[in-house]
Amino acid sequence: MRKTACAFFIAFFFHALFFQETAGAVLRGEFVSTWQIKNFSFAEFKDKRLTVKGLWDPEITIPTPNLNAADYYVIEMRAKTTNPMGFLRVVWKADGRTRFYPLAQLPLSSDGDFNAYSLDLRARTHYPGVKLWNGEISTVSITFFGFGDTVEIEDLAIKKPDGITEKAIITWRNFFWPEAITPLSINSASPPFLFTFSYAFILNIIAVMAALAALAAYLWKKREKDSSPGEPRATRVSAIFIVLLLLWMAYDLRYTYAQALSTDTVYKSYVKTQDGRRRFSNMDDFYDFAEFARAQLKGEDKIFYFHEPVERNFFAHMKYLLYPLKPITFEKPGAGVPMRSMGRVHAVYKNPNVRFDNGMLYVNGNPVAKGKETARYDDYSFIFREEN
Amino acid sequence: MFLDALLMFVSILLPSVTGFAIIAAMDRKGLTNGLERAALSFGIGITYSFAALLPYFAAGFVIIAALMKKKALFTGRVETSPEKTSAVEKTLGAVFLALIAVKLFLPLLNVFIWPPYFDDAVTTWDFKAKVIFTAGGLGAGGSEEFLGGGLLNYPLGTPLFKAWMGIFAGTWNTSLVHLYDFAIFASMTAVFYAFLRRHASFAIAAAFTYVLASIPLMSFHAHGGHADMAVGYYLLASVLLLSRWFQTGETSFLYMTAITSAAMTFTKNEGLVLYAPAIVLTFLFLIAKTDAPLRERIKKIAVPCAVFLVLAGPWLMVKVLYGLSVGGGKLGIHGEAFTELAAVFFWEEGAFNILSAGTVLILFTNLRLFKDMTFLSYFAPFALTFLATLAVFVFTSNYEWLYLRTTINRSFLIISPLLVFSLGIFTGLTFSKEKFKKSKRVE
Repeated sequence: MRKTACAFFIAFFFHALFFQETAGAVLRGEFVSTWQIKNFSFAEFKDKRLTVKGLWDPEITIPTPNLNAADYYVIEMRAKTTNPMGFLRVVWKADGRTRFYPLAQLPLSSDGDFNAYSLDLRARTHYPGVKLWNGEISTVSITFFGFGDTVEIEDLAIKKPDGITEKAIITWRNFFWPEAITPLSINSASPPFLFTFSYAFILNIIAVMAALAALAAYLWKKREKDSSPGEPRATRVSAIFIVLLLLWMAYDLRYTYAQALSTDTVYKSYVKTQDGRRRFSNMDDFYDFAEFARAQLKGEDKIFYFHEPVERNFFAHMKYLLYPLKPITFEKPGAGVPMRSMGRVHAVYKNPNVRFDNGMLYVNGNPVAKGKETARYDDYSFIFREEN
Repeated sequence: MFLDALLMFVSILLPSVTGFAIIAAMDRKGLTNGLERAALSFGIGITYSFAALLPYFAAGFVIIAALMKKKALFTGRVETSPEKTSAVEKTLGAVFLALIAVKLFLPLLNVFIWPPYFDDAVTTWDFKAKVIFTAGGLGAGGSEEFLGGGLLNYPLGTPLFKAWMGIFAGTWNTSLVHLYDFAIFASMTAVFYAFLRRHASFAIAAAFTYVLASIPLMSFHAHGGHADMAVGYYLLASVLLLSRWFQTGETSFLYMTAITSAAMTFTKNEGLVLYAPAIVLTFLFLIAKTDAPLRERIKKIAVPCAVFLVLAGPWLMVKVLYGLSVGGGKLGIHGEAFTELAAVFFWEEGAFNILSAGTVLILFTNLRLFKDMTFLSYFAPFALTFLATLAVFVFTSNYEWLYLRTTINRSFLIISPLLVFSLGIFTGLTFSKEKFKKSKRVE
């Protein structure tokens, strides 16, 4: 009876995991015609390869009418990027919602070669069993973080995995991908996922089941009254303690692996860089630019205008790194600052809306100051000094 | 870079040496062993720095050492768990110590290779420190440099020490100032092990220290520039020292509790509002359990309170004089917070591994221990701080931060060392053949 029950359970488990209906990949090779690409300076679809150079963070929006989330839940991509610490973010609209909804993040490899990525979108749950990748998906949007970097994509598809092997590979890869370093990393640490359940949840369930088993064994022994008084408590605690410690280590092993990988990525992208540019997560090479700006600003430039990148907030970092120099925003010049001490210098960092042309500084197409460009950092970053 | 790192290391070492001497001077009866003194030395030493006596670290050590017998300075009565360590335990303990070393190594490496990145570090903690370093002081009232600029109501313990590191090294290194975070992490790990080792076997003490060091969120806070872990360290140290007073009856532990509690209130506002009351309540509870006469009890309360006020008083006065808030939020009941909290504790977050479920399961195995006063002396302050933290998210508008997940994990990170220590004591107590070795009260 027990053997039959076990066999049934195992069969049911494997059926649930692997033997679902299969279907082919969708959307593959349909670049450009239906997809929208934003925030790029260069985009080309040639020989079934999409090359996108970011103006800031390039974003590919894929319309997915009537896409059944239950069937199609893996984003498969083969790509390479020039950003050694880049990552992608996926958001989507589901069930007629007008706003984009949860996000999944994935660090991209920094080895400069084409790499295959498979991101299981079901692995983002709010509560056990409540999937956020659910219902009918209408739009999927993928953002590649990295200003001015180039992403080459050979293959991008939202698909349903076929067969046991593919599902196992995807699950394995998703489990071991480290979390991308973001400003929120200090606030929380997302657990890895195994299928649709978080690893922390799975280990918690195992712990509870082990405790229940220990309790059952204890009650059984107590019923038989064959144990000496005082012994069972220590035995019980020791059994549960050992199980919990092993589960803790199982989680920590994977976390330490991710931690080490993350440290290695930081070392390669920020310390021992191949191209001399120090880049860090969503800050890109801002730290280099801050040093560049400090070298260009003179003692009398105590207050200067800082034009930061679109949709980013580097202001606090600039304020800290360049202190006692004081950046102010151009939108609110003079707020609380006497006119005579307002900035005469503009530091522009990766902001395509601010440009210098023919002795004039333009912000959003409007001329705002006459002067000269005193130093250029890259296509969209420079130092401008006003002239009377 | 190497010279900067060396100088900053020395800037940490100096107050540690002074802290070591202060502990030795207070603990005349030698109730703390060398490991405990060393582990506590940084925390106690930098509290000394808050009294604006930074240049006197070395002089302080020499004077204190001269006043004491050399032997008394470096030795204490070594007391560890009564159980003999078997070969298996030794091996297991060594494995855990190796794992702890890995957990210490990665953040240390990150101190050297990470730029300043996280928001609160660059907007508040590091920024204030750099302002103080650059201005060479706290600035005049009303000036941009006053109290390091930025948010004035944030306590200055962390920025002051980072400023001292910069002053000592003669330069401001945005990465290396995070050696402070690492020093706090390493000190916390050492204090945890040293105090737990008194009550638990080598393997158990090492295992729980490993659990503490491997709390996932800790890895970022050990080099990230926030002050949450520092306040958690002071909370842990305060409770450990208070409990040692309860076990030994030795007043010097009360003085040390007052010192670390003052440092706690000078590190984050939560230290003053949430955790100091928990320590006071625990102290009152423990003193009520002693059999000392009323006059003696009042004396026991008054003296550490005076020490606390001397150290924390200046900052509290600044708060009052300049009307600086301690944080807060609109009162209201947010019942929906409990669902969010359950998600945080049990399935959605990975910031604490399986600590929540593990706590419940371990504590249920031996409910009788809740009558044990020694266990309660550690667990009661945890329970109080836990409830206070919950109340912030359930009964105030801070619920918003729970929903956004920006502060909830950090709030529990602060009290998690205390929880893990309570679990360690709990396990040590249950395993111990002699039940629990209470340090004998010194006659």
